[in-house]
Amino acid sequence: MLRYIGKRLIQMIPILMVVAILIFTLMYFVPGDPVKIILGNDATPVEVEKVRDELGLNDSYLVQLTDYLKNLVQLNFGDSFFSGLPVRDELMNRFPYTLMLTFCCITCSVIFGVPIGISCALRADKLADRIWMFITLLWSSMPGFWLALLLVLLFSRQLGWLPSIGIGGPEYFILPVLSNSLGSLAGIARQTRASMLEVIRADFISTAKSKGISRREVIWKHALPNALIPIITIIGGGFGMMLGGATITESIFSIPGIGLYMMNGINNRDYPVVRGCILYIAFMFAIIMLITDLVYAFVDPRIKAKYVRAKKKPAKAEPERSEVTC
Amino acid sequence: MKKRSPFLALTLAAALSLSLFTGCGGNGSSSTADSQGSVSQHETITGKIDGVAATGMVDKIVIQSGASSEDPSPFAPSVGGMAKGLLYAKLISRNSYGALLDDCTMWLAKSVTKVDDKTYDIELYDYITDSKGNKIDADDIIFSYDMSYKEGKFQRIGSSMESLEKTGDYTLRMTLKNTSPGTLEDLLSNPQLDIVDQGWYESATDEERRKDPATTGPYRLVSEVTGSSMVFEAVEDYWQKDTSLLPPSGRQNVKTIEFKVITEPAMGVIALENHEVDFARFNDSTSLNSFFTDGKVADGYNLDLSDGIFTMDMFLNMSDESILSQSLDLRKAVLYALNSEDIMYAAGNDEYTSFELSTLGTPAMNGAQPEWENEDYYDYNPEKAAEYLEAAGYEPGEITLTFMSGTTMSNDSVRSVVVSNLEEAGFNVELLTVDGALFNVYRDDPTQWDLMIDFKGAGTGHITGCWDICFNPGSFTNGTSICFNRDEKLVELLMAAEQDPTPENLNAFHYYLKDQAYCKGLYSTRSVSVCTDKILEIATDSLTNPIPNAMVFAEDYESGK
Repeated sequence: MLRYIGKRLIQMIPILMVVAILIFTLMYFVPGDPVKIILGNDATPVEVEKVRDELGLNDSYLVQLTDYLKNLVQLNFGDSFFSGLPVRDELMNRFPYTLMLTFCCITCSVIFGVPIGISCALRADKLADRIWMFITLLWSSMPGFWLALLLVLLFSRQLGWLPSIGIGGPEYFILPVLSNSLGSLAGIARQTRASMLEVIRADFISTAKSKGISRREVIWKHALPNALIPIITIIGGGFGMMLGGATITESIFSIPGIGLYMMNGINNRDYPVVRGCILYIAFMFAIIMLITDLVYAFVDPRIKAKYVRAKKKPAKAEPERSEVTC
Repeated sequence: MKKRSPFLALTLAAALSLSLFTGCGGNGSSSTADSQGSVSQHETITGKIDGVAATGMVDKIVIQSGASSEDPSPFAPSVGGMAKGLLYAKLISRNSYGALLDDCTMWLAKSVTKVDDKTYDIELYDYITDSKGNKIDADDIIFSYDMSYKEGKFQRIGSSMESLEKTGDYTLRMTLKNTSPGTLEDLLSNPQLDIVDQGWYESATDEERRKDPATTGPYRLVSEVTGSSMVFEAVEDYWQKDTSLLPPSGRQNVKTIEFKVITEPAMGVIALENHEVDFARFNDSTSLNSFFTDGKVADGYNLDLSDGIFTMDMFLNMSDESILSQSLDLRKAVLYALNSEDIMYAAGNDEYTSFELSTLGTPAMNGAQPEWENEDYYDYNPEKAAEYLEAAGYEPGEITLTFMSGTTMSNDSVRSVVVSNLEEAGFNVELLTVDGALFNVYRDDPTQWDLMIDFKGAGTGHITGCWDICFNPGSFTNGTSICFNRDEKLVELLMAAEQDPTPENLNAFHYYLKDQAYCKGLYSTRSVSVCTDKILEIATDSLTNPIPNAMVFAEDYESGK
């Protein structure tokens, strides 16, 4: 397993390099001059040229790309054109807030979404199932910013129970987590229901029931593990997406996370910020996908067995097996 | 279907009730108590109310800041935040937007004396120290200018200042490149100028410069959470003991100042209503309406509407690429077709947050002549526009104009109004809507547009500064103007107005520009500051930014209450 993880981590390096070159090239050829935004409307052409020179924007594509890749190898993403702050430091400063928000949202979504999905599957087409499916449809259809504002108006403005902005104690994260997790909770609940429905109608569940195994054991020990793969996929995808920054939530609740940082960078054509953020997102996605694959192996012995077989397979066994097959 | 309908109705009813309970869809602020009296259209509110003022420093003020990333290090680019104004003193402070030397307060400079039109002698106080006790002298000033130009974004030093020489330990001589009004004052007081001790700066690490900079201003940085908050504390034993010699920016009326980053205007309103911040700034009528309805300030709040310092203007393409360059009547038809008031409202403003313009510039700019406001400035007149179109020899629907706008500076409503105005006058319109960065590129390309909406300001605070950035051929790589033409007479009038800004010269430029119909000033947006009514007087600097340390607080003021 360790060998597999190592192999996957090494495979990430060329992927990240390709992403880096791709994003650099795209940003290079996208029209738009960040210097004119930096200096404002009353800058003269001489002033604009001076700053372009200072920022290296007048260099050729190859020179800029080489410099960029050289810095990248040293984990230097450059400095923001606007604030002058190193992008790496900014990402590091903002990462804990995005991670905390993401972790809380996903935890919330899983803790409530999976049981709701299971419960709906076990009561398929009954009133409770229909109510929950309607509610989850509503949640997944609600625009995040609208829900966030509604929650702020209710819990912060009207009732005064929770702070509306900023960071601090756990209370500052309640509204952002609530507004950000309802959509993914609904998605997880619906996916769990669909997967469970498929599994609980399978023959092995009927066999288990006929053997007199308790209902609880049938569900939690036999049905759920077999239904988990698509649920894990959706959780992994959601986790990766959220780690990329919940831009709207961060913006509304003034959480200094990655999403808000990247959004400002895109609007301002702040090339180092955009490149740094996209690389970060690519890296995070790759890590999350790796973890997702490992969790697959953990919950499904068949997948784990594949890894083990691949490891134990002798080097010269292939021709022999071919003969048997023939 | 029948079975589900009661449940559906119940759910919808619940959602509606929740919306009503939370106040969505209506204005939660219903208070109409009059703390400042009713105001009429176009009248500004100065943010002063009666009350017993606190003596000495109050404890704390929390202010909403829209700058999501700000580096407090000296010479780091200022990105619209207010923090650096507290940390780094300037040589002088302008008392109002566009103020000239006679209307400025000395700060680090003891005096500024004119030697000739381009040369000024500056004398510093000989007892200036920074927050770490380092002495500030002429060498530090030269170093600070040098670094603000090289490292910072104070690029006007390069285009406006010929030299800055040390003439003594505490005396300097500044020579300018031009004599445009406001240039000297801008160089001495620009927010991008950070004055620090050279010795400290060179010995400090990047971390020290960022986390604990040695400051010449009245405050020092205590803590910072990137993108979230910054906390400042008054410098104990500030170098200038005689407070009568300090400008408002140098005062210390409050011990602790906290900036909270809130980028969403709607959240700024809620934070102020919840007392999570004591002071917030807005630039849209929706936010203002929460605190100001029917010309009255809501109970519990104080309000300041500062005159706008930026203008939103329509420019016409005068290059051979555009049909507009061929006929003055055609240009007049376009300008008469535009309804500035409707465009202003479409941009999310109202009569309180903005006002129509009568020239290329705002009345807040030094040099703007009051009589211009009472003249016909291509006041909206579709009939007249149609007449001019006919006089130009074109039938309605014969001409198609490309109208370019940036997504960051105008919205779809503005575009709709412009299109409908022009179509009403007989023009066809093609829209070219681009994002901010692309807009800056297309703006300089005569093949892209016939009409362009853009905002302008005057870096120097004088109206000639606004004209200069639009029509001085030296400001454009192709040696023309923002409209892509080089009108020698206009340039001559501009130079005369800059050299000698008398009413005659200013009028000459204004009327010539108006007659040629190259552009039309549409509207200017006011800066709206709102705070608790326990702040009796809102202090703002010459660029309409709040000066929290110069506000006058009521004796029972308490932050968060």
